[in-house]
Amino acid sequence: MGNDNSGLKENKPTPPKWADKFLEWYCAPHQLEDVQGALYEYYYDKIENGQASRAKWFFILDVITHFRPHIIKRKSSHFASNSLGMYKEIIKTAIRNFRKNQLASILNLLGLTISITSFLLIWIWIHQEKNFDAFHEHAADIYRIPNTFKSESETFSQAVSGPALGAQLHKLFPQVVNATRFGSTTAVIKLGDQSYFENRIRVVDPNFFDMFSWEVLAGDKADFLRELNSIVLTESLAKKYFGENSALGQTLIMDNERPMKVTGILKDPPANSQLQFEAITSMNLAKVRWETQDMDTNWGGGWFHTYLQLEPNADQENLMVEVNKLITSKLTFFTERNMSYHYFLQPLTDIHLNSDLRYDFSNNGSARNVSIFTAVAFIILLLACINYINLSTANAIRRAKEVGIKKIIGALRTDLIKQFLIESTLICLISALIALGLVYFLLPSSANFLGYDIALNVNALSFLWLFLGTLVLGLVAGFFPAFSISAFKPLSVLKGQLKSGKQGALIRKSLVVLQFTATIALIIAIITVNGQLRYIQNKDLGMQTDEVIYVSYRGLQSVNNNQEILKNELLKSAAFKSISFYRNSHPVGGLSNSTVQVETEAGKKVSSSLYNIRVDESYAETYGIELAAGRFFSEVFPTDSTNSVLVNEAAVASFGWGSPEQALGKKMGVAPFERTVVGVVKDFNFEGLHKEVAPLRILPIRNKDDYSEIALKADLSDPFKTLGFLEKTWKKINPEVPLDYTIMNEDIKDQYQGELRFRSIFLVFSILSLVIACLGLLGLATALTNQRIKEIGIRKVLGASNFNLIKLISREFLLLVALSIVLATPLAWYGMEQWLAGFAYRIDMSWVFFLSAGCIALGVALITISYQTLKAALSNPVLSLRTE
Amino acid sequence: MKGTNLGEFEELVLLIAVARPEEAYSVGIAKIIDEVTDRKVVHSVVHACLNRLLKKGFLSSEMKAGSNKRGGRRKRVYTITPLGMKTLEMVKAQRDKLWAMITPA
Repeated sequence: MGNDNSGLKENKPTPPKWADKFLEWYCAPHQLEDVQGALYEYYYDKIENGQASRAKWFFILDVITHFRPHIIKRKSSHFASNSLGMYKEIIKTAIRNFRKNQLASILNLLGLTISITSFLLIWIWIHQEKNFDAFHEHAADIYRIPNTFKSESETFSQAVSGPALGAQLHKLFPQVVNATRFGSTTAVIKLGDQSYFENRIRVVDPNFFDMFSWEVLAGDKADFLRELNSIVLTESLAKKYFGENSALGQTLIMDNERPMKVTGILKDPPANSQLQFEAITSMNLAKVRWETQDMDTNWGGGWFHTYLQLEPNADQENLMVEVNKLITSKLTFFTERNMSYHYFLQPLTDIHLNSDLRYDFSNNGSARNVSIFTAVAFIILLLACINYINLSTANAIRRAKEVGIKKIIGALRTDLIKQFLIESTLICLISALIALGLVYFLLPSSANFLGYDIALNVNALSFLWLFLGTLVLGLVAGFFPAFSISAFKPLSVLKGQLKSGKQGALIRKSLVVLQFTATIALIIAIITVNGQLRYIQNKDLGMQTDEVIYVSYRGLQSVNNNQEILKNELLKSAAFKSISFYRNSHPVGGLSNSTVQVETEAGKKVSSSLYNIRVDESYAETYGIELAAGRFFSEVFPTDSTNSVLVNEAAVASFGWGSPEQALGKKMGVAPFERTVVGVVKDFNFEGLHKEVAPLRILPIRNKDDYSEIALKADLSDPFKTLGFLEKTWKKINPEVPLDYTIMNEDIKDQYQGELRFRSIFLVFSILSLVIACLGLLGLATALTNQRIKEIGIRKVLGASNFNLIKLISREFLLLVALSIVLATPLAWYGMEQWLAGFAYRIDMSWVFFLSAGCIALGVALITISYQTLKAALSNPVLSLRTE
Repeated sequence: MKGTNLGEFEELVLLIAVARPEEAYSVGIAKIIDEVTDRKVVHSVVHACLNRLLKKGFLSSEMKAGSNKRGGRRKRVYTITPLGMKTLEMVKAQRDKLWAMITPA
């Protein structure tokens, strides 16, 4: 390898060249001569001794064995120690500059701090949203098993499944390690003479505690639900009943008759858990309380959320094929009527953001909102970066002399680039530190803004990420200024030939346009969001809810016994106009649905699944629901309770009955339970305005013991008097039962909690982005008017009016903002169309939105620069022209 | 570096540098160690040791013209410093003291 050309010069062998080169590469320069000499000496020693062939190998071996730290390590050079001084100098200059150019520096610092704070807050929220339910030890192996139901008239997916799945799947399939059902129930819980309605009691299988990792504060997991009458409480519910005393082993009375032993205390489920509960009882108890026989064997319907824990690496596809095959074979009743359930799996950690099924959890998030806010977070960072770039380049002339002198003294361009990058990174680091403090103080109060408490768990790694992120931010912000400022030619700088403020003017202008485009797009978005929400809140729901009070008593027997007395007592007061009893038919939040055979226009029966409500004769009157055809249930027709049914207009359309009039007389159900349609109600929204009104069946109640809740139409002009009367009367008639009422309009508002929260978060961040953009504009206007001060002076001397001058200076900025409006319009239009598509009832984007967003942006920009323009225009030209 | 501690190998190298000043460069020292102790040493080990002694201040060095074999490269020649000399003497005195305690059998 090495001896190739040595023979041409002299007949002397040389060591292998590549090894020699390798040595020269790794050896520290100050050691090289001595070490290389030594190896050569060995080499030629060997050759002298007639070991020419071995000499080469020994040389190579020597080169390799010398690859040691003390030979590789470079001597710390004179220059290196000097550069430490250079860094000190850079930091010193940075601080001096900060002081000298206070306005720009403070604007930068403010902008960066606001944007980093916003970014961190949004990021913490996103992190939380993305890590929902990840805290369970088996999270990766747990799946929910919802289904898609198909009948001849409709198809929908629901989060709940037949009860047999959770009871049996883990016994039938080896891949399913564990399974649990998760259902809801309510009950009156009594301790001493205090009784409360508890709404968030869950019924589960014993496996629930093995599959999910809840923190146990007291009790033994194995004993939790061993006995029928046992109840597990969360910490906060235990506190409600027992205060600071130990709740474990205590007894609570359920349903006024059943003594329940507290067998365990759990920590409250964390905010980032889809499963929320306050107390837990067993599935066996539910069987007794609900008097059901088929809870472990019924494969149809939608009763519970069912969770499966699969074996790691289980073949899910195969499993689901088998499960669906099994269920189809069990559900011959449905198959014969052309209905089917198709089950599928949802990974536990995927449900929060990516599931929107019927009967899904109300605390579900939205992947769309997460991506919207990710974009907003980065836009806000970008805006602050642009401010830095614009202000640094606009003020570059101030640094020109410094750059010129440094270059003459011998600074390399890379040194200068380094200097400006360090400056930008430094300011970002300071902003990040302030932002960190702000986040610390703001986070607790943002909980109610974001919808839940956020547990901030900071660790060393998150600080490392913050630090690295800030460095990157500093480099991004400082990159362009560093390259443009360091490019100044010393000669022209020192001769004063540099035209002030001209450097990077085009880029600066484009960046301002970019900034305002983003800001205006956000303003258009917030106007649209606002308009849509106002529309939703004021939309006619098809029912009158202004005066409705809703009372739920969970179908307690004692209340049902006194129905007539209560009704008569309340109607004695003029404030109460109408009272309706019904069962599970509160038109806000989740009606139940069931399957039924329906007669089509052609007289054929098809299968269908409809939402249904079970109500009394006063329901329509109380809720102000109007009839499209026929009549409502009436006491005049005693056969109504067994023979009649009403539907809504959506159902008429879905069955192809033509008109409401044609629907009258159609048959539903199979004999002996066949009913005749006696009336059609106009559509009213019972699912919120996200969804179209679904087909609905209105049934009368067969037995007055089935009622579970009441709607009261009452005069609420004096709410204290009306509610006081209600409370007094209730206490008199039902002293055992706590009165649990809500105002209907509040319930409806609650349906849009998510949207209202979205609006307020969006509003805050769009205002912040406008603020940041204006900070930049202010700095830019200041720098550029200062540089044109002489021009303005001369124009004034020559007779320009104040108005002329204001126009001259403002025009440039306003043109940029106007261009941004043009660019932002299609962007925002596209984005908001996507957002509005999520609503069944929506507004259309109107030109008014774009116009008002444009006016806001122009107005704010004008106000921002007005101080500078006025100052420049009104100043005495003598002052600006005298010097020189 | 821990003060004036002198390892066995370091002591050997230092002694050779005093005893044979004309051979007091890395290759020369390595060869003498070969001759005297009859143990094969690798050059890089000797070099590392010399480096260490330089750092401890027991040796000083100077680049001097080398032989033809080195391809015209100079060699680093080491001379003992007063501190080195003193340390060597101290080590010898300690050894002598201990030898004196040994009663001949």
